[in-house]
Amino acid sequence: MSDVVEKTLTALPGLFDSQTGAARITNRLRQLIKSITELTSKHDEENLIKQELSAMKEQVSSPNTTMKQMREVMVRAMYCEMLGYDASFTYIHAIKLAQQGGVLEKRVGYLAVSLFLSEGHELLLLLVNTVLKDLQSTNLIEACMALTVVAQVFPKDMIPAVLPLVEDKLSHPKEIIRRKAVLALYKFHLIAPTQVQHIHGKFRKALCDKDPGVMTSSLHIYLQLITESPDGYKDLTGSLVTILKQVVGGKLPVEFDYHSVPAPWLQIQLLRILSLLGREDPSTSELMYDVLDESLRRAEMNHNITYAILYECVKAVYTIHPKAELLEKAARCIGNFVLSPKINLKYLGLKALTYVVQHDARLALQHQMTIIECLDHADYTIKRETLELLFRITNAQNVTVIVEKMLDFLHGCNDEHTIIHLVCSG
Amino acid sequence: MRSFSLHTVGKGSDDSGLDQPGSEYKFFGYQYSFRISYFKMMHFLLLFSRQGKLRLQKWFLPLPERERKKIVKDMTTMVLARKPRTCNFLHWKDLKVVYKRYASLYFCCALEDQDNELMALETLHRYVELLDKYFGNVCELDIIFNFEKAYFILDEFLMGGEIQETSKQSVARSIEASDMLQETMEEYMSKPAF
Repeated sequence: MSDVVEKTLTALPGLFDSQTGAARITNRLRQLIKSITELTSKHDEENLIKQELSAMKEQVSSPNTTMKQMREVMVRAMYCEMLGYDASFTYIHAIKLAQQGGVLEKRVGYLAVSLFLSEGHELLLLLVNTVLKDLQSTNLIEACMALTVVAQVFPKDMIPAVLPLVEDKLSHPKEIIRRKAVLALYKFHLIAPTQVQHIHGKFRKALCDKDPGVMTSSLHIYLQLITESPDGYKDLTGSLVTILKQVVGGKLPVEFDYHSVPAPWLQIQLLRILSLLGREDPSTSELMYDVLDESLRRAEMNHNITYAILYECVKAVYTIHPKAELLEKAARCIGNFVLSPKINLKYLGLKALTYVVQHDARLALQHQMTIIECLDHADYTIKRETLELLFRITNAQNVTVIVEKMLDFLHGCNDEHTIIHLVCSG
Repeated sequence: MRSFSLHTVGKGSDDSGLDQPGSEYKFFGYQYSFRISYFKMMHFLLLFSRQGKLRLQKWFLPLPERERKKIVKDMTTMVLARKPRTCNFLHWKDLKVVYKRYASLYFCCALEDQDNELMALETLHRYVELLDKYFGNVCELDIIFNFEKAYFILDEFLMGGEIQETSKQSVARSIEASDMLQETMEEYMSKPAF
């Protein structure tokens, strides 16, 4: 255990000279953590946790345990599970905690449920009533918690029971509720798409929501829907282009900026959706050329997130119906990445080349020397990525060299998954 | 193929949508009865120390316990073995792993092959910024002793592995609202009853 941890742990009791409620509750967790860090062997840790778990077992089965104490037990249970020990006897109590406790207990109860239980767990059915109650609560925080848990883990068969309530929340005055409702519906769509088919119209409303957060959440659903069948959504292209234009042009409130870049994750999401809509469709692609050009131009700053946006832009440019000037600009961009001394950018450049080379092999030939250098790079990941690229630019002239390099690589490679993958794609 | 889900995948169920391409997803040989978004699906997010001790684990896909343990072990081994000045990305099985070290903690997540690694790197960074704003100069100890708070923040920020583009303010505000409630209630409850 490091000195810093030692010093801090010994100083802790001094910080709690008045036994406030918070300290009393969290002290047991701190004691547990402190005891574990003092141990030296795995065996000792196992024994200590076993003791702790049996003490917890008694506590949860006792009728005298208050909800407040149960909350504390739940936190320790989550900690034990994180260390890899089984505390499944607490699962049912997590649900009870969310059901019977006050707001604070609910919070921990719901968290425990989302961590302990997963899709298809039999106890999930017991969660439904609690969620139903909280969704109807006048306390917004409770409604938020219920929506959060629903968006993470919910039994598929019980969707009809909560669907009307969640749908209802789509028109709630508070944007946080609307946003969480959209995400819950997204989850429903992923696990049971036919159940939410009838409310696709409401998603459109969410897309036009005045709050950017709600609008962004609706894009998750649209990305999924459009991935499945782009044709039904071509009419959205105009609106999405407009939104992207506004974001890139800095029209969003400044709180959505991330290191001076306006809503980067939203930009990326829009770029992905647009590239799907414009693929193999000249007329739809036509609508996007301007905004793609603008995005390529705007993303000039030296920050990782700008490069991430550029990467998506470049991908989009190469996915949709081609336009010469855009392709040129995108190619230049990739060139900059590949030649960059920053290793993350080099990786991204190679990855972009791998994608692009299917459309235009000349670009890869242009950077041949750099690619060959990357083959002998010290970083294994770069080497691997280079090989992936090389497979795609194999022709009669260079096939011998490439296969030689691949065999060299495979000899030094331990991961069987890599070997299978490379051999199959080679 | 072991089937993990309790729901059977097949014809005759009410989810005729499952017959579409990409509807059955095999991940490590476990079959899932729900669709997975092809893009932007973070499979899991882990925080661990330089000694390989797990500090936070968030799984966005259901996986059996033994599989999770194995993944945690693989991740810590792989990431801790990375040399300095290498890129922040790794290939692992059919996924990409993105990791970054902040002081004594490694933040690590796994993405689909076609995903944008640099974006995921910034997602991790955004999470660190949120933690920093909440705890004030966050360090590993804050996360160890207040891991449930770290989870609350994560849940406001990432839902199902997807980032919710909310302003930093709104994430902070919603946590603060619940926190303030906590403080007020505890103060109230610890006051003498006369």
